[in-house]
Amino acid sequence: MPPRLRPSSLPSTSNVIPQSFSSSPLLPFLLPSYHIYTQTPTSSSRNFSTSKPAYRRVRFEKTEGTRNGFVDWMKKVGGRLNVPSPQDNVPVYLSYEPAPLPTRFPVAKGSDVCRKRDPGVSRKQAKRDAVDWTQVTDKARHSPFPTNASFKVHPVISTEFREQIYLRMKADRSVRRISAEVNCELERVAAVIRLKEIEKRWIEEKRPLCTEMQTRVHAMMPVSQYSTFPQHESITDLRIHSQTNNQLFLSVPESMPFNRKDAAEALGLLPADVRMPHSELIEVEKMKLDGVDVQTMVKVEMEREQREAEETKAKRERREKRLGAGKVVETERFRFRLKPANAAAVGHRYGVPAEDRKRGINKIPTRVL
Amino acid sequence: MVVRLRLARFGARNRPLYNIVVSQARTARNSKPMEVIGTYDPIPKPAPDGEGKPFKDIQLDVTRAKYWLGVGAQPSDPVWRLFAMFGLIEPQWKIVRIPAQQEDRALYEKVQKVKIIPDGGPKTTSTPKPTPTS
Repeated sequence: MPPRLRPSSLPSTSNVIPQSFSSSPLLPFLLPSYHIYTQTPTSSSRNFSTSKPAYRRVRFEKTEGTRNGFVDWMKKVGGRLNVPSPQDNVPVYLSYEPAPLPTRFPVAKGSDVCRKRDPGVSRKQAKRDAVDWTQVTDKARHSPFPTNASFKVHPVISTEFREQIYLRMKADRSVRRISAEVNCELERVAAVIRLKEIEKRWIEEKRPLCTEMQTRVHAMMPVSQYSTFPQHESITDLRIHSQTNNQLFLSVPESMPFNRKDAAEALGLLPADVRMPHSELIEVEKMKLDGVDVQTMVKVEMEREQREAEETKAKRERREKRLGAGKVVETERFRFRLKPANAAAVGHRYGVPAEDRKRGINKIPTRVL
Repeated sequence: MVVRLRLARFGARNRPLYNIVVSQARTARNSKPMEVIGTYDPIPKPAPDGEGKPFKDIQLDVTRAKYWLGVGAQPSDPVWRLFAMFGLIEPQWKIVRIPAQQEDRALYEKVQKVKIIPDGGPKTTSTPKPTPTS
């Protein structure tokens, strides 16, 4: 498990940032504890695997017939599942319970259960067999494989969520700050912005967007909704460094404290506080604990952001200068960068022949060059 | 014996790197040349900004190249191609230059057999059709 900051208690959805407040440029530095918390309590998809042992998992019963009963199953059951879903585009097959096999098309619970029932089914029976579609939908979203209930899906971000990230970028906020504001990993924020740019361009060019796939996938997976809870995932997770995979034995005096910093030093790494994606949030928390007033905190953060932006800009300029040297000729497949050179200094070196194997030549050097 | 401008292969297996050299035509490819005037890396590197075409680097001492061409050194076909990109000789094959580079415009127009119309000029220059004479 990667070391991570864990919430001491799970917050409720009342912790949602108000819309008006979330547009403040001072976020996320004014907020109490959103940085630490990430996920809704229902979807702890990244927790330790709790798969049942193989012998306890539900299995399909083997039946006689062609291809181990598959063709029979398709005739008897499969056909019934291939029908339009009553709600939310959730495929009907996700309501499938492996045992007992469903005998009829699942009817959603409601007042018209009796009217929709198959001929030859009593009202009582119909009511008993009706499916609570809300429950099925929810269950199916979080574990899409009916026979592998322990498989949990990590939520995806909704269309609105992505739009919000893009809008924040348009409002000149850095990727780092957006990431901290909506609790979304840096890489994900960057990817969303890149894809959004393409999407906007396509809309401008009036190219058709293929949203069907997105609709279907969103129907089948848990989706982080911006409107109800504008947080997506843990942003404080540390990637496992390969050097931490090996055990290391170290003698430490009992009287000496041994903390994360010392551990990192022993492994030859940077401390976790520095390596983590949002190390600046630690400073913010420290300032909060020290009782620094909000104005100073904001000032310090602004300065840090300014500094970071300048560094990035300088780095980009250096790179552009380096790459832009000389002319560029573009062909069908490649760009050729033409650079001026000096004939005296250019070129791969022609070696000097080693004569140490020649007769009469001493292999041991007798003078220092 | 002819003096040639040609490539000498360096690098390792499957990773060629070339020196652009001036040497006697009949000497071995990698023998010590009269002069090394540049390098050519034929393995494309991915575009630095992650989008666009991959690039290849060519280094060349243009002054020396001009001198050797002037005294009658014969470029090999690949070197001809590289020199054409620098605008030292007429290209034997079509190359496309980025029109934004103003100093290369004349050559671009010559190679592409087109006329670059600067911004603000007429959009299209349609040649009048010859009227059939009866």
